[in-house]
Amino acid sequence: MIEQLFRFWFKLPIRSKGTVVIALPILCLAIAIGISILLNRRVELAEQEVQHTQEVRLYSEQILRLLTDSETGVRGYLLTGNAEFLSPYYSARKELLDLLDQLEALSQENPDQLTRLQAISEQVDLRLILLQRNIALLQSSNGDLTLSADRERLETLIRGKYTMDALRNNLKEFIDVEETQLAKRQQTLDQERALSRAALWLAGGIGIVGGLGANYLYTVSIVRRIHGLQRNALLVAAGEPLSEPISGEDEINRLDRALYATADQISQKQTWLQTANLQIAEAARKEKALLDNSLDVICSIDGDGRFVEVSPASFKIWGYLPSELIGRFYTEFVVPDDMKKTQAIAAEIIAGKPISGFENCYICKDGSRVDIVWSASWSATEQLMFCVGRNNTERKEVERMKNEFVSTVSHELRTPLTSLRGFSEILLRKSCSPEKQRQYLTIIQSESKRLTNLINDFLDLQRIESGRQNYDFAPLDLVPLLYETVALFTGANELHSFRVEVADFLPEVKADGDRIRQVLSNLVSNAIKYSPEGGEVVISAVQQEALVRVSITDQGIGIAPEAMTRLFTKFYRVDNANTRKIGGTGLGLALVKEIIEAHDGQVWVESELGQGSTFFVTLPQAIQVPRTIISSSQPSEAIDILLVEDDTAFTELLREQFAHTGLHIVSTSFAEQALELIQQYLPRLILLDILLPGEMDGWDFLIALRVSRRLLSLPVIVVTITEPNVRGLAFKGAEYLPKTIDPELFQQAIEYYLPQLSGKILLVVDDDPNFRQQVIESLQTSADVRFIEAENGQEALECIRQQLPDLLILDLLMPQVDGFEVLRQLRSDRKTLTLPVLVMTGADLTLAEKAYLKRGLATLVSKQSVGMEDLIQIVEQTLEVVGRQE
Amino acid sequence: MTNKVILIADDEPQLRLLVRTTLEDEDYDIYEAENGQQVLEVAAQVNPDLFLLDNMMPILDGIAVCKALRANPKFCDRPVIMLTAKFQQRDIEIGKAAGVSYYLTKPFSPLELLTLIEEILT
Repeated sequence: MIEQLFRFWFKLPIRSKGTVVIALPILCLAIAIGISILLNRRVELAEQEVQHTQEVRLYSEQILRLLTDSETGVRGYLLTGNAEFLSPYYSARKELLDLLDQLEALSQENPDQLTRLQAISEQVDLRLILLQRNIALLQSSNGDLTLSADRERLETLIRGKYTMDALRNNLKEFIDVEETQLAKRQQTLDQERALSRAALWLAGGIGIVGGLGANYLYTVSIVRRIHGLQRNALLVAAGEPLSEPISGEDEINRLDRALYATADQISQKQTWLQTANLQIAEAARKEKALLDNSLDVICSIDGDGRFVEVSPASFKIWGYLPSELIGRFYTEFVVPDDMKKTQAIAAEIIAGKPISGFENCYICKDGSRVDIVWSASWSATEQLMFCVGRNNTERKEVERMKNEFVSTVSHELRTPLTSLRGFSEILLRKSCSPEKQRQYLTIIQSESKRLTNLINDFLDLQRIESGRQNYDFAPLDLVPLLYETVALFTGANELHSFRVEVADFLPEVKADGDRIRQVLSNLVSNAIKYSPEGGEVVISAVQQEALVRVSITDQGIGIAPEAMTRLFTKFYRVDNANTRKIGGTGLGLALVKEIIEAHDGQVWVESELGQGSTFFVTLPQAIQVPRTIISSSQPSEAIDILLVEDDTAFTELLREQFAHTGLHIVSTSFAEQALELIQQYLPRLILLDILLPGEMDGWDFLIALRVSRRLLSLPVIVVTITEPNVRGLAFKGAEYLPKTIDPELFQQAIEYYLPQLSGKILLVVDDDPNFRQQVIESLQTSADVRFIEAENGQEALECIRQQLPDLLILDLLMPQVDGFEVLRQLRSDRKTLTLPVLVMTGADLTLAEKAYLKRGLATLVSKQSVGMEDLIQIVEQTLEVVGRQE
Repeated sequence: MTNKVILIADDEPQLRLLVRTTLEDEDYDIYEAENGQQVLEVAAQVNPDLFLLDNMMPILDGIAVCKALRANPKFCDRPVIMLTAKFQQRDIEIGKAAGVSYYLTKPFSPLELLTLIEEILT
């Protein structure tokens, strides 16, 4: 309710509010005045009443006095007979009548008093009559009263006295009544006066309340809101967010809304301004960044030739900080040779002709010289020359190198050509001895060969550099390539001996075989050429983490340190007396570098002058394979045959055929999945189709298998409709069977690859009986596997003499006769030459020891890296290999 | 009359042989050098009447040798034939500035060389 009232109040326009605020106290005042007047009137009336009583008393007393005076006068007359005593009587007669009339008028409203007044009036009349009678008696007697007259006079006097007494009484009563009324009226008057006073206070109160109310309304509806408005206006001025909007719908509210709109506009403008400012700052920053980071020096020079502003690039180009240049003459820094042309061009620029591409040479802080190419223009308004200078040294160097390259190519091509032309001309023109002829022809032949090589190398290099060389990257075994390269040079060279050093287990590299062959022969050829005194050339290859590092070492003349950096650039040949004798195209190492870098490899050289050089080449390994064998977590689910085949009909046929054997056959259509299964379960045999639906086909799958040492010996039979590339298969180590083959033959083939341990005799030799027990337990797959145990080499050899086992599981470190000795003795006896030997050792073997085992045809198994679960597989595989060889 | 002395400088032995063969029927005393350094050493001993220099030689190239010769009062007016594969105008200018008397571009004809030498030395 009040709220609504307030809302209504706030909605009122200010004029109405003003009216209300002014009218309210006025109204209150008017009400107070009205009340006051009303009460005053009542007081006046009461006062009149009081006055009325007093008048009645006064008149009554006057009547009494007049009568008394009249009596006295009459008595005087009676005594003296002097008529003068009668004047009070006569005047009283008239006055009394008036007084009585007045009293009557006053008592009109009071009938009791009127009755009393009537009686009083009659008594007055009677008294007057009595007095008249006395006077008359005297007058008629002429001073001598008769007796009757005297008696009558006495009677009259007595009657007069009585009348007078009665009158007195009546008047007293009359006055008493009035007195009583006066008291009442006086009380009424007092009440009225009190009331009036109270009303006056009340009126005052109402007036104050009205004033306060008006003040409140004024404060709430106008003052406070105007303050709010003022606050908002100040906030707008300060650019701060406005406080709450002012309620209502009057002018103040409208003004406030206008303020809000203004503030909005201002804030929009501010946002815009801020954005604009940011953009300007960003632009300035960019400009500064451009100036600061520009590789070109940007500077302004005044008309006298002094630097005014210089960008920081001056430090990079000249070695001078901008602060070191500003204020100095640019001519201080130009080399004397270029001074003339520089000043001439500066004059042209100042004359208003912008230039670009002007080249001159500056002296740097360290005294070196730098070629600068300039563009510049004159600003007439700023009276400054704005210049941009680019370091041209590099470009000039490139140009120089290009020229040098062209000269070198030209020289390299023309030199053999000169021999060809010259000697052929001599042969044609002159008659020479047959020996001479032969000598010249030999030169012609060798020079034409040189020219051919040069052209070939050059074209190769061009092709590689232009990216047109296609590389056929494939897993590549470097070892045969190293031997092949050495073989290439061995026959034709008597001064040098060659040695190949290769780590036992060298992973395959990802490389293009033909290109690597080229690299190796280039390096070996260099090694031979630069060791003219002969000596040993060592080629070695080692694994280095994910790389294979090949090195070629000679004992030749070596390379000076300053030459090493340029060694791999085209046509660079170490400048020495022997260079020309050694020959060569100067392109070989550049080619090597290009090829190796295309393989993601590196090439570098280590050398000492006179001590020989070693060239190193790294190549990435083919595919990263896990080094440790993953133990099958569920040996019970071991897979016997993994069928990688998308032809479900064939899969079904196979399953049916081998259902009775209890072989666990798992099939998949995808090579990728097959690889996962292999990692997890290591099947005993893989049947593979070449055409597969996934990303990888059968060939990719074979490659992936063959890069893993663990999977290298895993038998694979390629099953395919058409006869595949047999050579390719042989290379990848797989057999093949046509799909249409007789089921019987198929079964035979599979059985051939899946020999059972049953019926085999295994000899376990180890000085640790616990280990022997472990081995036997893990291999005890069927009841008819026979185990023989021996705890040292001597015992083992005796056992073998008595009963030749199918497989020997041999520890190396044993008392008395150790494993190496056992192996040596076995391999020197024809009967035991082919006995499969599985060496299980916990020892770290040297390369020599490993090589010895390898020569002894033993399969090496590390006790640490192979779990017992895998042992059975390894044993079977070893037996399989033997089986196949048989 | 003593034979004229010619000094041939080239780091390619077969080219020295070629020049020698070309000139062998004439009455010239021929000396060889296989680099720029040797040219100056040999020249000091044999006082050649004509220098036949290959431009691209190890240690000191033809231009450097030529400059050294021109700086030596003993050889400052001796004719120098420069055998070069450099055929650009700029190279020829550099050669001229260094004091090269004649240019012969590889591959040259032996007859041409012979004719030029005879012309110079007579």
